[in-house]
Amino acid sequence: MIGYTVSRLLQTIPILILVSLIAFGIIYLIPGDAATVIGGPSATAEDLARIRANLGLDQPLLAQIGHFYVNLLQGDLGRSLMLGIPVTDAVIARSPITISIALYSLVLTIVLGLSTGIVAALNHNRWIDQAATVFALIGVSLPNFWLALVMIVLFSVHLGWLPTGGYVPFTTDPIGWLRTATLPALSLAMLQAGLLTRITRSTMLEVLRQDYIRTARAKGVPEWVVITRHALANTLMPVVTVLGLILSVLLSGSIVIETIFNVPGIGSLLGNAISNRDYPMIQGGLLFVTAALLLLNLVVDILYTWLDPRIRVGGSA
Amino acid sequence: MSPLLSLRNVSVAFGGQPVVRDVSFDVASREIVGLVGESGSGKSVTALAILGLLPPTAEITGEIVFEGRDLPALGRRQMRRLRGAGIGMIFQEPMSSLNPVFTVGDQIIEAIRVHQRISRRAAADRAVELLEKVGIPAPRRRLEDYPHQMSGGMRQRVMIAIALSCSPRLLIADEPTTALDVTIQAQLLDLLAEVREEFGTAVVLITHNMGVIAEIADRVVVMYASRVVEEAGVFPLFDHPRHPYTRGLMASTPAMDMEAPRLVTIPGGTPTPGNLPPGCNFAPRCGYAIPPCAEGVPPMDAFADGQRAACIRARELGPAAPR
Amino acid sequence: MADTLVMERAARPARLARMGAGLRRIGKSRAFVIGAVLFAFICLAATIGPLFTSVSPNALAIRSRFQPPSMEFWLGTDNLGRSVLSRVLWGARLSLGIGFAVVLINAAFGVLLGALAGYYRKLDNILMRVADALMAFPAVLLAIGIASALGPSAVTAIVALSVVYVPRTARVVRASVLVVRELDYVHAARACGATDRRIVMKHILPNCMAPLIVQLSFVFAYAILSEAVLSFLGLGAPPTVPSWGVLISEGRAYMREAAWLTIVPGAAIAITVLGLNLLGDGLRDVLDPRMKVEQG
Repeated sequence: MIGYTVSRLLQTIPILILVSLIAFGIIYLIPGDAATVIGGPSATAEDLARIRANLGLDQPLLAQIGHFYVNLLQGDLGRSLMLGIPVTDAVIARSPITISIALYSLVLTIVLGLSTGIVAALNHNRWIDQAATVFALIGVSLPNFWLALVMIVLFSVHLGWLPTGGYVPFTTDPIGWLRTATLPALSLAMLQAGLLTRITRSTMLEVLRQDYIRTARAKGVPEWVVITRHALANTLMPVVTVLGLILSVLLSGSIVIETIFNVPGIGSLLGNAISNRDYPMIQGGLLFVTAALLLLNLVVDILYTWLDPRIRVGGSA
Repeated sequence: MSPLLSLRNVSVAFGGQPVVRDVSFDVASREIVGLVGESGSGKSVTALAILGLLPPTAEITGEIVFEGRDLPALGRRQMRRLRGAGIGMIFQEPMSSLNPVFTVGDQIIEAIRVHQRISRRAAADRAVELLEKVGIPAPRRRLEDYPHQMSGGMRQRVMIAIALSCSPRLLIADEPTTALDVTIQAQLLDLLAEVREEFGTAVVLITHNMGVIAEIADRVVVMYASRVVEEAGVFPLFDHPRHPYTRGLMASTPAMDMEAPRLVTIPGGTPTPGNLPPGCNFAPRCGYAIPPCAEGVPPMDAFADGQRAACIRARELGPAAPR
Repeated sequence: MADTLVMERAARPARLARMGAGLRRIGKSRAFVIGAVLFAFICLAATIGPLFTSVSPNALAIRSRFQPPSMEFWLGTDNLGRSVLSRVLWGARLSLGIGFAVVLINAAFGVLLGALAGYYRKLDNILMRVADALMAFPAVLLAIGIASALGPSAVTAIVALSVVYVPRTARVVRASVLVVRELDYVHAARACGATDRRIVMKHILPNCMAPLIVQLSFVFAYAILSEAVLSFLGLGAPPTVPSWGVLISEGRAYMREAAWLTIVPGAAIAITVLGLNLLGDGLRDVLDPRMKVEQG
């Protein structure tokens, strides 16, 4: 168990190094002179020099890489060209917003996905199962930003239930937060709920066929306890393994969704950086989100071994 | 005295396809009845039908009377109360029959507390007692173990402990020893015999192994291709089997401690439910078959000692020579 | 050498027979049939549709701005009076074209890298670490990062999406190569002195086709979705060329008065992706029910 945690941690380190190298390399994909592209047609010679100095482009490549990693180890992701502040500060300042919406969305995903998947499995091959399967398939096929726009038209413009955008922090006004965060979270969750429905349904069907379910019934355990205790415990474990994937898609979806709903999180920060060619911000944001996901996946994997007694408690047989 | 369990003309079908036909037999209190047959003969389905554990798509007809109550007519709730408390069951695969994410103790305690209003602590004490009864050393410590930490034999003992937890009057054991190795098999059969002695539990023992039957059964019901073909006390059956299928079964049974391919001497294979021959199901494989065998399902013919066989030539052929 | 030739000849009819049986089973998969019909419908619309629309996608008609769907304009008109139907059909060409290009690149590089990694264990370590790193990025986010550096164009979208999905495809190919390379007939071919190249081309790759095809159908679906995101953010095809993502992005400004501008191209994406997902599901069920496809 501890050995697994350590080896899993050690595996993550080379990936983290490679990931940061890739993020670092993005700026070299810019065709032609990066400073000219960033500065635009109106940039003066001084502007270009300043941009080069900011990005370290005036130094030899190896020195740049060395610099990059030294800074990275100190948590320095460079300085935003557009905002003039350290990327790390900007990202950290915005992250509570993105995290709160991502968590909300994760809860919606799990509630929607798990319950639909379970209901479908319990009604295998009946109309409700087919309806759930279709719902899941449509869920994974819709572009989430399009769904967001449709929901704005429906719930905000026509029905007037929720605002079309903006953001109120949970700490200042929980109700306001709920009003502003629901549509973004829901449009992010729909896709993932479809994915989770499919996984939950197929896992649950598999579990319900197992011998130990029959044993529980033979003991005289009431059917709802058989489902909620015996079947669910075994269904949840494989579902935990896809949490990392779900979070990954949630976070990448947040760029567009936050832009659409005018939510000032990391997503819209990156969206603005893209339209302003603020490369340090793009690189830093990308690296920050990816590193956070790697760590989250690490936690999920370790959580999984802790949940499964077959791994947690070594066996003799 | 009326029997503990009585099956009368029980048939089970899935989607109009019968897998158990017209099965009748009784189990008296404290009796160990062997239910023998090849896989696919309908013996496991019969057992699951008794417990009401078949999927809802199963169509069950006939009477299954347990302690005077007709089980198929019981409501879901009453049936559930009976499972575990009145009738316990052990399955073939000890490896997969216990839930991998709960401790062995949890699973025994659950079985107790489903039927009895006692504290968790009292249930745990009872679980320790049960584990001790089924021969598990250091039982209190074992409560905390997960199934994967135990050997197959141990797990099957745990299954027996679960089945016995509410002192059922009847225990149904579906091939309880098949997945285990031979020495463990013998120990578990001894355990089942002890259980009967100590708790007075009747046992329906489902097996394909005549050696197991010889070891502990009082009476034997032989099934072939969804029907009962012979029924007799264990001594009359082994002394003079009447049905040609039972004869073949006897001839092909190895001594219990030998691993040998079974039923090598009966040519052909069990017909599938959808593909039954007309008349006697066994006729195509039977060395004694005559044209009339194909004309109708042979009725049960009663002999001395309560022996019954479904073969039109049983009288004519006479009892097989004792082995 | 003669022996391997004999073996190959013996293997070929068997493979054809297996494919024939597979095709018959595919016909029975409801998911596959529905998916194939949906996808074929969209492809047909993209290829011959533009020929039948009398209106050019860029024909301005200021007098007929914001026409809701009607007999004259089946799917309505946009802010400049251009026919939405015509623009969606032309957009289909671009969106499907980009998706198809990504699939082709995935097929070529996915097979090449996957086969190299699966067959040469030394390369495996390096290639798979790089793949792990690329796959650690959220797919769309990496595509956005790359596209933002390359500058907006259709080619950019193709390159960015290929970088994102090739590692995933290579992993699928590698996984099946690892299984197939240990099969008896491959050992036999090697014992008969067949070259690595010959073994990989003739014996291993043909047996990795099933998971590859399934994976590619999902890559196609993801590519369509991701391309729309890139275009929506202004990182895909330039706005003068109406890809579906661009159309949604343009329609967004007029959502209150002309919701169809947004809904129609989004529905086109949804139908295409749904079709491809169904197609992939059906293929997977038929080809190998236990197969897991790398996604994300």
